[in-house]
This record gives sequence, structure tokens and C-alpha cells, in this order.
Amino acid sequence: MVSLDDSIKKHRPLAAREVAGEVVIMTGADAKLHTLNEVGTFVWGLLDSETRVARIVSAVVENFKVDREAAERDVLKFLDDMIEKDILVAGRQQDDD
Amino acid sequence: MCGPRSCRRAPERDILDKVDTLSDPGSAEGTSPTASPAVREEIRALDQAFGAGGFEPRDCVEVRLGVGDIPVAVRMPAIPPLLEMAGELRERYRGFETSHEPRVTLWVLLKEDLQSEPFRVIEVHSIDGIHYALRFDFRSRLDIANGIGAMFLHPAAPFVAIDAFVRITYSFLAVHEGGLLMHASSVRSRDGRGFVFMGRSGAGKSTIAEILDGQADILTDEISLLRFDQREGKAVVHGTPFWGTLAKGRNLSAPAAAAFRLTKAPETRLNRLSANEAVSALMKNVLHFANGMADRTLVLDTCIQIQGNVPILDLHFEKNAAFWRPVLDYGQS
Repeated sequence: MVSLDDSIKKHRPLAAREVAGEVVIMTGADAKLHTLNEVGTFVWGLLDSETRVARIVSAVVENFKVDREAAERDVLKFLDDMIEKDILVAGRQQDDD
Repeated sequence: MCGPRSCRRAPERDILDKVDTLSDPGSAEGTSPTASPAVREEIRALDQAFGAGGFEPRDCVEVRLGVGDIPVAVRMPAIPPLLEMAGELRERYRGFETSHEPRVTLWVLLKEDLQSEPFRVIEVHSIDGIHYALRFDFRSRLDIANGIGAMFLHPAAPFVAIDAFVRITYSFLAVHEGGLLMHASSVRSRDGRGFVFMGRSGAGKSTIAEILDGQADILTDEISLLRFDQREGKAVVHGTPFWGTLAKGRNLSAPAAAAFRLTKAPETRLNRLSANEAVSALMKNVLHFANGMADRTLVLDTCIQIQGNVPILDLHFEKNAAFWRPVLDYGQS
């Protein structure tokens, strides 16, 4: 399970393309296609560099009509899902304070 | 005041849908992601055999075909049993002959000491832009960038082994030319519009082609080539000579008016797919052997381009002629 203190980045190799406003991701190992909805696409846009989970949650709260608790629950679930599918990887940042 | 972004409403249920797995890896058939040390050894031997040459333009026979306006030449020394196989190939590709300069030349060479392993199914590996295919009766090496391929054939192999190499070549070549080799039957209507019916074995490709005959010309009931024509600015569907056991494909083409994903159902119904569903439907029905990221990405990008150009729909159909009117009427009004 990923936590708010973890940092997240994209896994390689994968190919991501935006199709009609939604991101489609093809994973390298198995050539599976995964489609993100609008919010997933928004989160994907935050991950160009390694990003802390807490920052992702805050960005979702700021940009969508959702309370912090729901955002946190859903972001964590989403990230776990993406990690399990080898699309994202989590790590604890050394210099975190 | 809020900016456009902060005004967006989160979806009613989860704010993040869980990730949908829309396709299975079935589009990359016969591939395995990594080559074992034994396979790497075979590949080294292939590179060596290729380096040794044996590609003499004298005393050879050539069968040249064009599928989707992409010419490929198959050349082999004019010796038995290759001479005979060239005749069988020529017969199979009848109607697809071309005199255009080949994009790729494939050499077929006999290899007496090729180890025949009866139960070895086809395996394709892409390493540094070279595609290697290993099957019980042949080993092949394809270099698209330099326009040359070679296959080393067991002397007892049937001519369809060469056909398999030609298919593999087109599956790679097509994506380099903005096209996709699809598990799809296709037809051309009386008014010249192309319709594509995608599906795996048993989905109803042949059924559709049978029922539609008379209303339209069948291009193929097995494998179609869907290709974006840069000059015309539209996607065109082409028949191919790659068939299984049924009707022969014909060298006909038509601008693609629509592509349908087939589902047998108790009633006939059409549903337009969303852009993402359309890309997924295409990917799932591409005949491709890519196991390298570069080639797979090329396949994905080609699917996205085709999707932007051709409406993709679900076709639920029952086995009677009721479906052809809505299909042929699609996009007319």
C-alpha cells in the first residue's frame, strides 16, 4: 500500500498517448492498454517528474470538487492499482521532511 | 472566480475510475518478451549465416507481390525444391503481382542441416531493429530499414512456410507504412465504400462476408490491410492474399467508411465506440508480432491515427441479412 509520504514516478518502458482528452497507456512487458479517465489523466500530468503522493492529493482537491478525505482515499487506491499494473513505481524519498 | 480546471466536477462515484484493461496481449501473438540464452545463440548463428550472403541475383526466381500498394519481392535460387515452391507461391499470390520496386526483398535459402523441431511454434524476437522469427521448419531475419530479409528453410518445409515469412514481413512493414494488418474481413459496397469487420476466429468474419456477398464485393474474409493514405488523407482498406482455408482474398481496395467490431447477438444493433474504445478494439485485432517497445508503440500510434480517420463501431448481429442495411447505410445520411 502506498502512503502519503511516498513519492511516485512512471515506470519504464511504457508508451502514453492522449486520445480525445484521455490518456491511454501501453505497458511494455505485456502490451496491455490502460485508459485513464479525466482525473486519472490530470494525475498523470503531474508525474512528469517524481512526485510526492501528498502533493498529488492536494492538487486533486484544488482542481476538482471533492473533499480531502475522498480525494485521499481514491488517489491512494488509484496509485496502488497503477503500481500493481507496473505503470507507476513508488519509493520513499530520502530527503523528505 | 474559479478557473476552468477548478470548475470541473469530479465523477459521481469514485473520483478516479480504476484502470481499465481494455485489451489483452493477444495482439502480439507468438511473442515472448525476452530471448533465452539458447535463442540468442540461434540469433547469433542467423546473423552469421546472413553475413555469409548467398544472395545472388543470377539464376534465381522471383515472386513479387504488392499488398496494400506495398511491394515485396521473394527471391530464391532456381533449384529444386525451391523452383516448385516459387510456382506454388505465384499461384497463391495470383492477382497481387506487381512490377513496382520492392520495399523489401526476401531471400529464401535452403539449409540442409537446419534442426527441425516438430513442436516448435513460431517465436519472434526484435533486437536492435532486426526481427528474427524461429519456427520448427525455418529461421528468418528481417531488416526493414535496409529493405532485406532472409529465411533459412528446412528442405522438407512446405511452401506455406515462405508464406508465413511474407505475412510476418507485412505485419512489420505495414506499420512502417501507416498501416495495420488486421484480423478482419472486408467488403466494398456498390458505391465504392469499404467496410471492415474485425474479430478473432469464430467472431463471424466469414459469416459476414458470406451474407454480404451480392450486396458488395468481398476483399477478404480473413486478413485485411487498413492503411492511412497520406496523399488522399484518408484510410483505405485493402484485400490481402493471406487467407486460411476459405475464400481467396482479392486485390481490391476502397476508402474505409467504417470498421466494425463483431459480436454475435440475438438482434442487430450498431454502437459507435468512444475514441479510447476504438483504439483498443483496433489493437486487439491487429495481426502483429512486435515484442519490442518501439514497434509496439508504432502499432499504437497507427491505431490512434486510423481511429481518428475511420468511425469504429460495435456490430451486434444475428446470422441473417438484416444487418447489412444499417451497415451499408452507416454514414450515408
